[in-house]
Amino acid sequence: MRLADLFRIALGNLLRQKLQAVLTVMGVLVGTAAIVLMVSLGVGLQKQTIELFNEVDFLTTVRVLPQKRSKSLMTFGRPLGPATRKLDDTVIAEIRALPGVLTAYPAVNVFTRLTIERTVEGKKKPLIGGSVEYVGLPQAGIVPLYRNALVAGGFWDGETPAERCIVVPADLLAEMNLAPPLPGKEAPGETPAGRGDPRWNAVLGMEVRFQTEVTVATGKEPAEGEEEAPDPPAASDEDDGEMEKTVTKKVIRRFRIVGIYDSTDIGMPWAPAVFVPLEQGLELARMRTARQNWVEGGYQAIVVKARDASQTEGIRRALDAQGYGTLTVQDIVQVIGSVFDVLKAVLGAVASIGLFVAFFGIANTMLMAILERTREIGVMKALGARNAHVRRLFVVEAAAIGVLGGTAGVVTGWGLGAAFNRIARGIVAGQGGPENISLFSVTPALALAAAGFAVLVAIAAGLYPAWRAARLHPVDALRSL
Amino acid sequence: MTPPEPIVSLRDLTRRYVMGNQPIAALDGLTLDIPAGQFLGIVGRSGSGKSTLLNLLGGLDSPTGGTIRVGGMDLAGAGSDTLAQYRSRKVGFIFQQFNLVPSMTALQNVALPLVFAGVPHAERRTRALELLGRVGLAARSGHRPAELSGGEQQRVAIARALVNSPAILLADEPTGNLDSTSAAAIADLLRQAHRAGQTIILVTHDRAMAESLCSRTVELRDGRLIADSPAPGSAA
Ligand SMILES: Nc1ncnc2c1ncn2[C@@H]1O[C@H](COP(=O)(O)OP(=O)(O)OP(=O)(O)O)[C@@H](O)[C@H]1O
Ligand SMILES: [Mg+2]
Repeated sequence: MRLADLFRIALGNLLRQKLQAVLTVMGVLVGTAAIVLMVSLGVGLQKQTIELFNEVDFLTTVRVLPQKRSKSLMTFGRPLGPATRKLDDTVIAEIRALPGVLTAYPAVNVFTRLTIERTVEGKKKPLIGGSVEYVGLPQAGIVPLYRNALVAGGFWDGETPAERCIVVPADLLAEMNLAPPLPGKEAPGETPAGRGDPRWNAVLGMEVRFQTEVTVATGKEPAEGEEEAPDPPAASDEDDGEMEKTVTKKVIRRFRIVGIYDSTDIGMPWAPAVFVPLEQGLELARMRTARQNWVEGGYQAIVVKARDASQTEGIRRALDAQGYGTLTVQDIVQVIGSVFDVLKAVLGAVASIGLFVAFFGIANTMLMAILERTREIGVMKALGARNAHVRRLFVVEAAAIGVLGGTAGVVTGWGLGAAFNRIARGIVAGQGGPENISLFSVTPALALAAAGFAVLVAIAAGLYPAWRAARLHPVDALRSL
Repeated sequence: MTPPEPIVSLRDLTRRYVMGNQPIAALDGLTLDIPAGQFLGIVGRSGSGKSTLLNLLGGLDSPTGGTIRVGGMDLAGAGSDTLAQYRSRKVGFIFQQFNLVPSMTALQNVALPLVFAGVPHAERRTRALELLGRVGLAARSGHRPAELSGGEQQRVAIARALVNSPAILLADEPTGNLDSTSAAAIADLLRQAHRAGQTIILVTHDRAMAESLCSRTVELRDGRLIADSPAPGSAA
């Protein structure tokens, strides 16, 4: 039996019970459309998220770590094992000399909530805002990108100014109702403040409070600046032979706001940077990480800035070759990708319930078809059809249901996604968000995989009915009604 | 002059069914030779085993005992694929209920055996049209069975049975569902095929029809051969 005949007869058979065929195909359509819609949501969210990292600040940064990074997915690229390289000023000097490097400086690596102190009726009152990352900058690290983002005030002069200073993101101030919104982010009725708007000046000069706890051995004098009474004694050092009492003390540092910048294109949106002079930032880092994995006398990480994004990968390879651990935005994007892969798999699995149901619909339709055509199967066998011919006719008929339903389902899922995207764009644009967002994104691979899965499910559903049909005894089949 | 090897050779052919505990011998030790080119009539009352014999001859069923050779091929031990191939190349069936595929046109029905034999489309079409012409239905090639009368449907079925030039043509009560005019037309077509050299085995209740058409008639009763006329060896 020729392939063309197989397809022609199987398709002809499918179209004999048109309503039945349409209903069965609809089942596959709904199942496939659900998969396409759900997984395309995962793809769309992934693209939106990865988009966030497509910023110059990220693309030009390499983080150098004192230990090799794990390549394993399970650890999400976190460094594994002890520090193997000491990151000190000598290393920084070497890295600065590498081709393509704009500057390199130690990373501060401190995350906390932004707390601003205001003086209300002569008393200092803290106002707690969103999460920020303290970024310590040497003068050479204040790249044009940062300077151009300033909307009020400026960066400090000199490497280590006498007073603690800080540059804070405008958006957080607006969130804390300390300052007006930036243009494009205002609520209806609000007047946004552009660069140099006098309303920013009210914030300049306010103080940012950084607070942490340090554990010190009793008897020893803690560093200057401690306030308030110590908390109850904390756990003692166990590897120390003699019992040495330790206490936890609250330490506070105050930074004067000297500049305000627009963080839109800089740093991570969920934890924008607050910039402080490098040495002042490193002090915070030492307090925070006193008991962590520092190589004695070394830094926790070094931030390397490439002259432009195209040189980032070359720098990272050079550093890798020297045995350092390196981290670029590509690694983060990769980890995010793998997280979204899991999300997509879960969404796809949930949506597969539809095709699971369609499986039974197809099996039922095919079994009914066999009942209706039992005599015909007998006739075909009498005319020389082999069992395999009969089996293939039914499998191809089932597969055709999958092809029709799968194709229509992909088109439907894609169309629904596009419609939802339009609605979402309308809502987001109304709130001053970015235009052209795609929550649902159907890639060719997704379309092919979903349709292919539908065909596989349909074939699987047709296997048992086809086997039953092929196995019919010709005499019994001919005798049936 | 040695007699030619018979095209069908049955030795002690038995087909038993077990219903519950009770075995029924639908065919009980049948021995029979059929020379090529013979038009054999099989008569006998209802339940005597005629259809059972025809099914065995057509490779639709397998015997429970004895041997059955058709065209030098042993069917008794053959597997389902061998039997399918045998049906495809050596046998043409005509049924009492016509058994055309309702979704296919007359032409497609006639060409169907060639589809399973893997014959290319163009060749199938030529051959099927030729056969349809031979049964006088060339003009109805595009019609579906529901648009044809019973007699016309059976003529299409005869065309279909002959399309693969079978070694033997098997007909089980081909006129059982037809009025006398249509039955005469069918009988005519069978006679024509026989004149062209076709071996035909015809099962019928109608002794008169058997005697007028067939060169030899055998009678079954309870699965056994009880009459054979004219006796083998005598002139056909
Ligand atoms: N599948 C079966 N199971 C059990 N018994 C069967 C089966 N097929 C046929 N028989 C029995 O075998 C015997 C012969 O049946 P067969 O159909 O060959 O008779 P027949 O001569 O063709 O009769 P008719 O003229 O009525 O068509 C009958 O007694 C019948 O009941
Ligand atoms: Mg019968």
